[in-house]
Amino acid sequence: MQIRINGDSMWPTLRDGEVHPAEPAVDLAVGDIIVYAHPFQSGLKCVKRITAIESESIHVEGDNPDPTASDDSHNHGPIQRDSVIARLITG
Amino acid sequence: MSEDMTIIDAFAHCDGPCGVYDPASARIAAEAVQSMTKKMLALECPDPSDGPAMAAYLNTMSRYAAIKEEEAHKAKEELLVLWTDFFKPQHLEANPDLHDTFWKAAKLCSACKVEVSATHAQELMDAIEAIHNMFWGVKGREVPWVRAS
Repeated sequence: MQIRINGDSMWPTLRDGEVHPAEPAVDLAVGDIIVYAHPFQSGLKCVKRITAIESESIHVEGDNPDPTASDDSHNHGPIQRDSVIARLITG
Repeated sequence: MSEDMTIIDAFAHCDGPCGVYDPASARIAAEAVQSMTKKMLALECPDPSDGPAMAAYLNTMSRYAAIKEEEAHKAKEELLVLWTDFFKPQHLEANPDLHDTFWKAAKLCSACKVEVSATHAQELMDAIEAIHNMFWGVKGREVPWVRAS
């Protein structure tokens, strides 16, 4: 599958409008960039980087260093492993 | 790479409570500063021996000064919100002088509070026009610079 980036929260790694290939999300690791269903808006698919994994709970963050640039685990909390849809194939 | 060419739109948006931004609010406050500055400079001082006229003059001048102070502070607040909340690191690529422009604009707000300067009031308007152009530029829209007065 292909992932089209919509927004700047993963800047400078991923830029608005770019399309990247992705693969099924197995054996997730810290540092992976994943696509997941937003925990409070199930129809919304988000893309962020994994910064910590604790069992089924995954902490994700945007790469953009601006504190208001990313809707991620800082505000919606950790996500569950079963909400992960894909892992981006990068560089 | 996966053979599945399905495209999924993935949102990489800013934090949930992000607001609706528009440099117009700073422009309106700065226009009030400029208007009060012009009124203060145009006000003619009456004969100091005319008590009622002097009281009315001081009352009017005080009100102009108070509004100038308040609106200059409001303009600075609006600019700081744009600078620190709306603009993000990626916007520096297209606007390398963004920080300098905002810093100088904020300093002009301070100057307009301290002084009764038509020059600095106009420079503040010019700085906000530059910020208006940066703002709409990063949003990819052409929005004309329009003044209320």
